[in-house]
Amino acid sequence: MRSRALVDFKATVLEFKRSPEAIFWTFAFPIVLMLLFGAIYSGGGTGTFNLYVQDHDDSDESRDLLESLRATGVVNVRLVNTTLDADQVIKDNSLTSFLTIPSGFGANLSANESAVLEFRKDPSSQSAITLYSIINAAVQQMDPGLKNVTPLISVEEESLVSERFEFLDFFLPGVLALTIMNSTVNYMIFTIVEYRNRGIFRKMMTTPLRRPEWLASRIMWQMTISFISLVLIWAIGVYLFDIAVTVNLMTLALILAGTALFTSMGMAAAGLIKDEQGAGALAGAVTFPMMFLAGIFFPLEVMPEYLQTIAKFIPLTYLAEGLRDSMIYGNMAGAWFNLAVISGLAVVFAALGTVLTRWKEE
Amino acid sequence: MSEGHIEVKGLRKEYGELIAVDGIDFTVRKGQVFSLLGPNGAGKTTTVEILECLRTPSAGEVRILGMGLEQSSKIKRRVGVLPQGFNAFDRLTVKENVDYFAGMFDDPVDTEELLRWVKLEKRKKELFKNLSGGMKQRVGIAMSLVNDPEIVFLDEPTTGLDPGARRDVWRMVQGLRDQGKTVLLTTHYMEEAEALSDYICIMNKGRIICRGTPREIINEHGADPVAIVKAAGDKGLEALIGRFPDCSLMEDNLKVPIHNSRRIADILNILDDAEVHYDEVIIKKSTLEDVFLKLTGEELRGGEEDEE
Ligand SMILES: Nc1ncnc2c1ncn2[C@@H]1O[C@H](COP(=O)(O)OP(=O)(O)O)[C@@H](O)[C@H]1O
Ligand SMILES: [Mg+2]
Repeated sequence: MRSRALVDFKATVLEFKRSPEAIFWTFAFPIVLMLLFGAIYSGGGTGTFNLYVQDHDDSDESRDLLESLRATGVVNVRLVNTTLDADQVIKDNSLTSFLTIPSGFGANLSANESAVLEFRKDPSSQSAITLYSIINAAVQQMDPGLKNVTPLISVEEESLVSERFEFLDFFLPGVLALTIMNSTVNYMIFTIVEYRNRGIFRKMMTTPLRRPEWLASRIMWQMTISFISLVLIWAIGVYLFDIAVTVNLMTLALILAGTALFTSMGMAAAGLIKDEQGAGALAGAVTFPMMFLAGIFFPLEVMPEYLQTIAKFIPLTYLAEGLRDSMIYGNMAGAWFNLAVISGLAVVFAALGTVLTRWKEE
Repeated sequence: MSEGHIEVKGLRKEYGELIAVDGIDFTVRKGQVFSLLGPNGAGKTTTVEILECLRTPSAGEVRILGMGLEQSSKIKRRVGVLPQGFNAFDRLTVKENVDYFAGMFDDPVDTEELLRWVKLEKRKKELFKNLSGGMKQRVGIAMSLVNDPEIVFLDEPTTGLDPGARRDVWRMVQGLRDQGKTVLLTTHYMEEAEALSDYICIMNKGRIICRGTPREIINEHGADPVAIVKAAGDKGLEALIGRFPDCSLMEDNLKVPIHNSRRIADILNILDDAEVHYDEVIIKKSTLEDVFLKLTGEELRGGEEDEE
């Protein structure tokens, strides 16, 4: 028997190759995103942050910490006289973040006891959030034994960050997850609406081609796109911004499952609309909330509680988290969990998509 | 239910309140070109799409090649479809498009030969989107033949085509009949139905209002032929009105209905005797158009004929 899915796949490749707009939109998105984040967060960029620090400890350890913060190239450490009242300084200078190193920090560390840093931040400030992540990374780099947390800094015990962790690294898996979602959902919705309105589905329906076969072809196709995106993003990260991330089998499995999930979601969503104008709006309605609520641009931990709750209901969250687990943290248990969630959702949406997709214009 | 290739009994289709097909019966025999003729909205597409297994009837019995609609996947392998307002993949070439649909079947025909048959072998490398309307329609016909179907459904295959392209499609329909295929054609062009069909059902508002071979329909429902004597003028009218009281003058042309008892020769003799001069004599036969007008009091054409 012939594989109808393969016939459809081949046709899709040909159509894509002949569509400069489709190629542009599919690949410009991740490239621009990577270049943008790269420019903002890599050390060479203009994006540097002022970090106001009160060092009550003034020990070797505290100076080490500050030195490693400076070494990121993104942080200008501004020491604040310890005699001043921190709250007053924050108020007078409209600071959005403030780091206090309490006395005894170094002594505790050398005694191998838990040490505490106090970081005050305005949760609405992007740079405070960024600084939080940078401090977090620096702290982990400095001493994995530094376990205890202030109410504001939470250092995950199991999050073993690879040695050369830099802030941009955090974004790469997010950009990848976002790209997979974005190109897949968009491509599916626009293709389905176009095929339906132009009567192409109607013609397909007169042949033995079945919807699951068509979905299989689309998933294969979107996986191809996802892998090309991975290579692009990774190449930009490595060659332009000197990022160190791992791509392992788990990464690939997550990409496959995520692509299947979003292909099916796109198919299910496209069943809800009729015309081409609706397609753009719908694609936006699906991708935008996910884009901003899934912890792509900022770590979930720094988001307010209720947003963290919302994020739990957003499929993209699991892909981004899973990719971070596998590409940065090397947290296989976490990656497996996310892979399971994504795969389960993929099955549900594939069934929904097959049922909901009308191939006819009514 | 036996000898028909397609048998339809009491077929109904409702869309909510609207009754698109209102209980129709017909039988299509093997090798026939069978036409559903009717204005837009008559229910032709709904009917054929039910037969193509694309829509579910609200009521009625349908058998295609002896199979019920529940055997849709078997039916689909043995019929070919040119949907109304057909489109293919814009960015695939003619050949790639035809190959795509050939690839959907287990045992397709040679697509090169098919392209020769629809006279597109020289255009096979062109992208679908760059083709003219007539060529697109020929691609559609080729695509409907990839599985060497026993029945071919052509839903308004010539709507929006220029006269030349329409003739091309007509020739292909005749070619299909010569190959012994059964063709179910829908159209709102009466001359198309008249020229191509072995059997016609005229549809209006979901019902079949009249059926038969084109000749039968015209003989039964058509008006008498009319002789039109061009530029015969008042003098002609005076000469003829005695013998033919129902003749009339339109502008300068004389119209004489021809009943069985009257012969055109008589008319011409009278005119000659009275030394009436005229340009020419035309015999206008009744057409399906007239039949439709007579049966429904409405024009057949929806008025959208030349919009594309
Ligand atoms: N999917 C549908 N939903 C609701 N009404 C429909 C649908 N398809 C067709 N109709 C209506 O059914 C009637 C018959 O349509 P159609 O079968 O397309 O006629 P035709 O092909 O003869 O022009 C029309 O009034 C049309 O508006
Ligand atoms: Mg129609």
